[in-house]
Amino acid sequence: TSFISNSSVSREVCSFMSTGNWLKCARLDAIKWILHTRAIFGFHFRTAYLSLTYFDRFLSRRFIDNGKLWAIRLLSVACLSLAAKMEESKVPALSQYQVDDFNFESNVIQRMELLVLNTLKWKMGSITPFHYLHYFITKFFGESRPKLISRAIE
Amino acid sequence: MSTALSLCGRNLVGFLSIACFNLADPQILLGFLSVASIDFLKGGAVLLIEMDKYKKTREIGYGGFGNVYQGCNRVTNENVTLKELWFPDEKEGVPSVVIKEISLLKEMEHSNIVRLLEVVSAVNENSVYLVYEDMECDLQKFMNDCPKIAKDPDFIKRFLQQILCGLAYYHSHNILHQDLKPQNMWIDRFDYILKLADFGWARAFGGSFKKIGYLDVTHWYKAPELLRCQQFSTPVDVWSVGCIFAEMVTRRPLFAEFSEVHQLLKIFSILGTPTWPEGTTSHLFANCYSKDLAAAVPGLVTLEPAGIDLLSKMLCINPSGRITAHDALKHAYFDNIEFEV
Repeated sequence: TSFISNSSVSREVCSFMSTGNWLKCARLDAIKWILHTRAIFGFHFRTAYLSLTYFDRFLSRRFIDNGKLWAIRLLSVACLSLAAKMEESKVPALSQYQVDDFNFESNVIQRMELLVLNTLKWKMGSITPFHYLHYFITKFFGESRPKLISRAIE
Repeated sequence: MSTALSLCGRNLVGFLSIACFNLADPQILLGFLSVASIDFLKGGAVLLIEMDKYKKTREIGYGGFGNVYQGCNRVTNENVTLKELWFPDEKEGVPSVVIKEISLLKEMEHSNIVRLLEVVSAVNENSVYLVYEDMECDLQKFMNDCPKIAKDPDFIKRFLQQILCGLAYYHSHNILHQDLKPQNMWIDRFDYILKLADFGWARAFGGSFKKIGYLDVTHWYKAPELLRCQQFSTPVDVWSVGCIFAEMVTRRPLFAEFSEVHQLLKIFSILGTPTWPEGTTSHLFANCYSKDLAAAVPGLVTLEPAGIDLLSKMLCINPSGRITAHDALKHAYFDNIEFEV
């Protein structure tokens, strides 16, 4: 929550909810949506993880007003779609991302993708813990254990 | 849109309904996201760095997925090269190959590689522009305009060293260039720094950079394994550098045929036709060069023996026997100049 300056909090929302709490809830909600959508498309877990790092990096640089759930949702879609494009061999069309309550058109999602890309300065290759899992499991057990790796990932 | 803007600032419910309304109407939608953008921004920085910042002055060529322009920054007047990248499919959004390539290029930082300054969105948002530093003069132009300097053995050595330094850097990141040719190398006329450019995006799109007013010479620098559509890797770039090395010395392209088939025949006529051992498929070229390069190409007599040796190692027909960019830099040919990188 440190990245939110109190001065920019709109008063109405502040009266019933603190900034940090709202964003925490919104983030949790975004995580739920990302994990749920990951399962639907059969993406790797690392894709979901990567999309969340984009989500957090974006919010550390830009501000989303309290209560703007649609913006959080749009951001989640764009982050997951970008992560899928980096990690997955097959990616769904933008229109296939289902978001309850909001019906984002492909060109809106594309605009959001561009906004995220520009905000993150197009540095989309991130090293995640998943890159080290295999190494450490091999190191600790002296052999590769695919089952353990998949359990650890989950 | 100004009403929408003031509304959304004040009233959450009102804003949500506006958002839904806007989402249904593509015309208003464009404005909608810029409103959203402004809201995201609070700090006052520019949201999407728009193309307005740059002015296209002229088209200089085209490459995979779009044109290449010379342009300038409207604020600083600094010259830049703009490489346009179209998004072919609206349903897909920003193509994954574009995202992957740009994030890779963003990591590249080397004094012999043209710097990617930033990525800006086109106004229509169906393409982006890669903004590169501009150096005005390419190696081909330099060889034509300044023949005296360009044929000086020390300059050739310096240029070759810089080409190999840039290339070794690419290869150390597991990146192939695939489109090395004199038009794709910039030279700073003040300090003679050479930088590799990559406007064709050959690796991503199979395209190559074609410069307006120049012959399409892409296949002149293609390695035999590329001409034969075999599996290929980093050695293809070393081959191209070998061709350019010979061209700097002799002042003419080494293998300049009008088609890819003739190109391959020409290569074999100069370097010798490879032979394949019994029982092997033609997958790999078994034999390295069999002819004496200096004898086959008379223009090479001016090149010192170490240079001939390096050149023949770069022009080894068998890609697995070809010298790497990294090893080429350690070759005796470079012994008498200072290593700068």
